[in-house]
Amino acid sequence: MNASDVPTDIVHWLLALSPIVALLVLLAVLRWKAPHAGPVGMFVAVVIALAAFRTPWDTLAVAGAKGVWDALFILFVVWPALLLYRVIDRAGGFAALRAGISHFTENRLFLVLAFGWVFASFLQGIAGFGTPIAVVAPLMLALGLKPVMAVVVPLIGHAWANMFGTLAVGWLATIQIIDIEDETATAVESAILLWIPNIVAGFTIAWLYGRGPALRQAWPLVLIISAIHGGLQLAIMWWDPVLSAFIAATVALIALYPLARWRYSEPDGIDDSPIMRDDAGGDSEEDEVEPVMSFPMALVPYLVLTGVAVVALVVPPVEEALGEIEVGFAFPEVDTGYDVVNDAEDPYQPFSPLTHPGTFLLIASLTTYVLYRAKGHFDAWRERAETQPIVPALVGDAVPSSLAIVSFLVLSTVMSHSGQTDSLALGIAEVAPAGVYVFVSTWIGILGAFMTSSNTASNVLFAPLQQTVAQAESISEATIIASQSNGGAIGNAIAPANIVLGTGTAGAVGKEGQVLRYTLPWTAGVAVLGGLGAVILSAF
Amino acid sequence: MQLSSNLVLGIALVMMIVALPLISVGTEQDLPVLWWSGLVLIGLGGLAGPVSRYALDEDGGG
Repeated sequence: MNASDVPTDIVHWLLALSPIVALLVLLAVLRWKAPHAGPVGMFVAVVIALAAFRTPWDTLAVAGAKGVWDALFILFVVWPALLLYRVIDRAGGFAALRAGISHFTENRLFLVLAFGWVFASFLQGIAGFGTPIAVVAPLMLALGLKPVMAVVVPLIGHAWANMFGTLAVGWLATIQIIDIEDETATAVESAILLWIPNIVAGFTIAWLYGRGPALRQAWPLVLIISAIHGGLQLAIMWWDPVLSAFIAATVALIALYPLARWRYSEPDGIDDSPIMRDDAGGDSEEDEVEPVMSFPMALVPYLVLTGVAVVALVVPPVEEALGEIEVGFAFPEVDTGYDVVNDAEDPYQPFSPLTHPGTFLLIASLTTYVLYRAKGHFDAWRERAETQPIVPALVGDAVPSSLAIVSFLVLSTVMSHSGQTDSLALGIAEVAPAGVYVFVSTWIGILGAFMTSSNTASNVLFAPLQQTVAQAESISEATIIASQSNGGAIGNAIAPANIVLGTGTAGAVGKEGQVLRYTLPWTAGVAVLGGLGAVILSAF
Repeated sequence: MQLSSNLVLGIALVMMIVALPLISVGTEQDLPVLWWSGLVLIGLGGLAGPVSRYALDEDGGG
């Protein structure tokens, strides 16, 4: 995309900001549900595009269609993830999981960190596209977290792994879209900055669980896991960035077992955790229902999901063979009255269904369904507890979430195709002196992730601009791209599509604003630390 | 009979997805009727969200 004449004056800058402000106000202040708020934000972006950014109707049409297409990548995670959740729930799998976990360790603080931070990061290392949120949120619910917190914890916990997760798709897209002078230095500085959201996530989750007492218990665990996550990811950067997050997250997952044996097998002694439900202590009627399956049987869906994803994505010949099947739509070149040109693409963002995490989730769902049906778990659980039919429950959860996600992504493509996105980023770049720009470059990355719900898309949108400004102001290119990447990762904690994924699977539909009230301050705080980290890095 | 919020949102979702091939073919082949149809479908689909908030029966999904 070229953006030579896009206006960056204060009026256009504020107008370009208005769709995002409208969305935030509707969600977080007025507490509208996401499927109601998303389309309003989309219409605001369309009106601004037509009225202030000289956008022709055909450009709007192409932008809208591309937004729908981008959303389908996420919807192909939403529907299979919700199906997996409903299949497990219908067979009583979460009751068995809860009972089995309590035998493994009775320390709920450890379990919240283990699932919400370590397992969510592991899933991000390999799957991505919101899979960690969609899969971990119901697990958090099974552990006894309140629905809103069941979404907040994995959102915060997985954010750091977005840049080099999904086998470093964000990194690969970045080095494809811009020519980086020193790729190793950029990867290394990215890993240093990404260590910040990682360690802050660990401490934040512990603090949310039980404030000071929880921090005093959890600090050795947080430091050790963060040393593995952040340190290993950093060390691997000199060898192969593609596998860095996956290897680091996998080693951390394995380390949980000795850590649990070492000092986290006893109850944590925190009885009034503000993030746990009142019935989480095991006295509720549901908890008294005897599970109908064993703990290993309840783990089958997650083992199948992990196994299929590893074989499909980590074994190169398999990944190459599966990746050959691609589908997509063609779009012509479109432009605006301010010479914002979007090139023709045939196909635009081709979709590889067989290497997409949605397929892995679908395989896990179907395998689980067949296995549980053969074992008679559905019938057995129906006799012991109240159940919901799988398909109507799935549709009821997925439809509102899907409409919200489509409208978020259309909002994003309308803003980028009309030049509103460029106006925002260029406006910041024009007024910020070099030192200040290093600090705010993280926020530009966050803006991109908020709009697109993707670290990769954020970097594709803004890495070229960040590089141009770095060269113009003689700032370290490696630091600026690292800062952009860090912002792109952090921004996933507030990305509306990610939040909707979580509220959909955690029974918290309509509470997206409450989730934002937790993740927004966290994101802002980590962005300040990340910005300061970038300023320090740029000094060397 | 009151329409349920989920039904309307479901129809809106289908409309927005149907718009995708219409706009792709319409803009590639220079057939304004097709891409205008797609654009209208996206607009109508988007309207379903705010409309369901104020005018329709909530059924837990919305």
